[in-house]
Amino acid sequence: MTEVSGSTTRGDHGSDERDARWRSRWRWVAGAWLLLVLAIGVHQWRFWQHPPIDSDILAMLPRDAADVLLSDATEHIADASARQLVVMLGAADASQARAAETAFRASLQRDDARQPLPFQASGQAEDWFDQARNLYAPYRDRLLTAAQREQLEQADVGALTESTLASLYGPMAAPRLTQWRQDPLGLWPQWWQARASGSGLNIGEDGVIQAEGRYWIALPMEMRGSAFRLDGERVIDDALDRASAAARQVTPQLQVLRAGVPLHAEAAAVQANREINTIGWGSLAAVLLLVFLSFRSLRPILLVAGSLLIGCAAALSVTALVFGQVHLLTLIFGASLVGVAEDYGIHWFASRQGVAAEGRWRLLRHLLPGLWLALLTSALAYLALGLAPFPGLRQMALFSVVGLAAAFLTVICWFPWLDGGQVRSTRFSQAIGRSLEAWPRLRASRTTLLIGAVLALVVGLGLARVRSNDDLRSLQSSPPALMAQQIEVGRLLGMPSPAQFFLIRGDSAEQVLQREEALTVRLRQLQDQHRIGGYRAISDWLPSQKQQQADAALTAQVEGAVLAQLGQLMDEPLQRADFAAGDLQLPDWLASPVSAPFRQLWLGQLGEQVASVVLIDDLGTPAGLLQVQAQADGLPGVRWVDRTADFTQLLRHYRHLMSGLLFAGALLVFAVLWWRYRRLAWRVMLPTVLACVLTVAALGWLGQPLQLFNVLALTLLLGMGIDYGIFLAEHRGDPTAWMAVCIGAASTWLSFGLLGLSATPALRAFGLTLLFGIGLVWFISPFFRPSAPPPSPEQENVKE
Amino acid sequence: MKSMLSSLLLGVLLIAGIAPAVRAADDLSLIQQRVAQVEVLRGGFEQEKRIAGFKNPLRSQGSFLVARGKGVVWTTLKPFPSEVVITGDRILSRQRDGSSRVEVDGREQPALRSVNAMMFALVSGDVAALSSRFNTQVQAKTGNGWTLSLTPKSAALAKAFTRIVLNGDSYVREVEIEEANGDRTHLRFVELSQTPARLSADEARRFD
Repeated sequence: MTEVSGSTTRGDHGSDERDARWRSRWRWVAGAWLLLVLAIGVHQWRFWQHPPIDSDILAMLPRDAADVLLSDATEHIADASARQLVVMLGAADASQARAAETAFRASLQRDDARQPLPFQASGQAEDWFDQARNLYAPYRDRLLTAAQREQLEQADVGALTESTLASLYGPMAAPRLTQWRQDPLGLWPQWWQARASGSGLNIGEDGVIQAEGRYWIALPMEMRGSAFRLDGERVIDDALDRASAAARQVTPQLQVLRAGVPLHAEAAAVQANREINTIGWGSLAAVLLLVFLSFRSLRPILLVAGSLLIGCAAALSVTALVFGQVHLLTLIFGASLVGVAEDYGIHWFASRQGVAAEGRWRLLRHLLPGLWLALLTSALAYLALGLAPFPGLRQMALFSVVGLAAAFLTVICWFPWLDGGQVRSTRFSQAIGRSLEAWPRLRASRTTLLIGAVLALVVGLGLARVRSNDDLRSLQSSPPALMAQQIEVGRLLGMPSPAQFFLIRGDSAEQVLQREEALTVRLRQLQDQHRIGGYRAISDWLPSQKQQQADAALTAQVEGAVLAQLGQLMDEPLQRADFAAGDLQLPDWLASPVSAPFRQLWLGQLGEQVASVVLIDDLGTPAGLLQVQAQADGLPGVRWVDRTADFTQLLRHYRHLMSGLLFAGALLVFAVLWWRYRRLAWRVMLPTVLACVLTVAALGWLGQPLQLFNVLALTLLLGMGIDYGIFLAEHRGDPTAWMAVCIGAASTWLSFGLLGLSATPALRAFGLTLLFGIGLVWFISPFFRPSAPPPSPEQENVKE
Repeated sequence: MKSMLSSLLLGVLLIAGIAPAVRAADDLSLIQQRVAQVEVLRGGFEQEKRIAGFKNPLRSQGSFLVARGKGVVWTTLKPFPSEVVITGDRILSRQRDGSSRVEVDGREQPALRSVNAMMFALVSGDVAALSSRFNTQVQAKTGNGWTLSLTPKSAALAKAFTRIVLNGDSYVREVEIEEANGDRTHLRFVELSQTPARLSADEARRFD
């Protein structure tokens, strides 16, 4: 886009000889690039066998270098839930729900027999409960709920004996999970009941949950090993759709809810697939159409398409090699690259118009400095995206820079060899070139002042309406229906938030468990007040040894006394059963399959310390959040972590930082322009500045929030928009230069316009900003073009 | 969970005592035809429990009161007096000294709501609901007699019960419960009466 005059001299005698020498050297360069392209081709072929594509939002966010423990904890929790999904079937009564479940499972089995599904039903909760009962039974005397502890501490042995007698002789013989002798006071079922209600684990009757006037059956499922591929096909969703339809045939009024990370991942992949196709193929078709209209020949179309293809392939390969994985958002963003990388090819053909085939080597040498500078400015603009320490943005920056560079190299290395024919100057291109004259040059007049005043008012009001938004959810693009179901399932099953939790640290496992217990005492009060739905803590399933010993002593004393009294009253000596001699130990517990559902809460040894997390179900309102947060106050080693808030804070921080950098960048650019154009510099600079301000004002008028991604788009606009001004200043009055600007702007504008259709809010913000920005720069630049066109000897020279 | 056994026990009683549901499986309709449909049922009981850990069976006697739409009052008189009141939303126990304690509150423990709902279905005599949880086997006897044998359909319920057998004619006369842990309860009902069909004020107060 930027073109700096080459240094060929008119009528040099050694010109032909030098041309030949240069050409033979250039052959080596072209050959080297061919080898590289072949290597990229091989890598691409292997890449698409099993594309390592990532759809996790968290992967796009920076890891906290300052607190690795926090990142580890978040990752640990996220990993645990990444493979799980759950389907809930709700019917008018339990038997209908059961029938629906049978039909649902049968449909999945039929599908699986035809072609293995990427997911399967998780282990049955019933097996789990039997295993758990066997594990805990020897330690029954060491396991009390908080209420039981209080009750036994204040126990009147006489009253306890009385109610024990009543239950023995009355009808209230609660089903015991053990022999009567092992639990004479009936404490054990209550302990399980408390576990069940506190942990969202449904060990209630028959696994049927009754809520909101319906009977629900929850079907937990998990993804199978490596079979899961995100290839943009609706595999999980389709299988669940078929199963739901089968279940509805049995139970017409059935309500089906689905939740789980794999569903969101698949939805994101399907959507990304669609968007990449729209943006990528849409831009490509538009670019090729523009090329065809301008040059009316097949060769330019094939060569420009080839440069774009190589650019995209190289970008994908290098990104995959550097990052290991390519994120879906990178692919969507990368699809808009087509509209930027086409510039070099178009530039070549625009300059070739009217140049004889023999002159193309000289033309290349003439174009090279300008093309290099154009690549450099665009690459710098993209690299500025990578300044923020977001792995996602860095991926996008790397992808774009590599793509541009590869398209650029393809143009300069191969086009002179492959483009041997004539390039015609068509009426279409001439018409575009001449259209520059339609723009009046701006002069200081009353009309100009009036327009300026009106514009200032509109901009001022627009800027006043700008609101910022740094919500992490701008990266999230799940379909609203799926989000609604996820929330509903979360409410029914009491699923905890994976991004907000308490982090507990200590020097030893025992200390961590004791600190957790101090916290859960407070959390239970909140639960009793219905401030939170519940909490999940490892100490609920594995009390600290201190607690176990205290409880064992308490039950031994009270149960012993009650049994002695009972024995007297019933005239039969009653012996207390034997229990395990020692406490339930952490290693044994972790080794048992029983701990599997809770193991994610135990972070274990992290550096010098041991750590665990406590998750909260149903956090409720922001005010409630503050109250929950306050529970960590005054407890050593306990800390409230809110990753959502952290990330929002981070996005805000970088929005401010990048705004500052944008301002600094603009000053820097102006300095460079001043160095080259002196008193004309403002004419080059002002269109882009105006476009930036107008774009932000337009966002204000449209009610679109200002976020980091708008600011980043403005950075890109600065890098690309200035080029139009430079171009008009460099080639004053040259119609082919104006044509190159128009076609370049049109394709860039279209690509980002298509990006503005993305369902991901961040990418939409990016696309919209550039859609306004590029259009405005293109429109405004000609008004500020410098007046008298100086002679352009180089151009004359090439077209001799 | 805690109330599972009691609710079942009482529910089974109530199929006999209170008007059964209209819908039922064919074999159950035999029982529905033979059992008297009443608003209120009063009677006495004799219970014998065999519990592991006790050498001797635990024998008790007392009376009960069942009212449609209200619930059940179960009064043990010998050898140790106590009383249990079961209504739609709670289970309450009264001690000898007159103090009472809520054993289960359906409002405070949502997890228990499904158990209470089941009990409620049983209290209202929903035989269809019962057969949805149990495999039933009916045996007609000479005269008006019948035997109903129930085995749990679900693994969860089978953790609590092995089998429940009812014997009766126009009322349930005998209940035999086998728990999964081997404990057994045998109940015999005596002096059953369905008149007067309305609760006295004194009786009504006992449900509060």
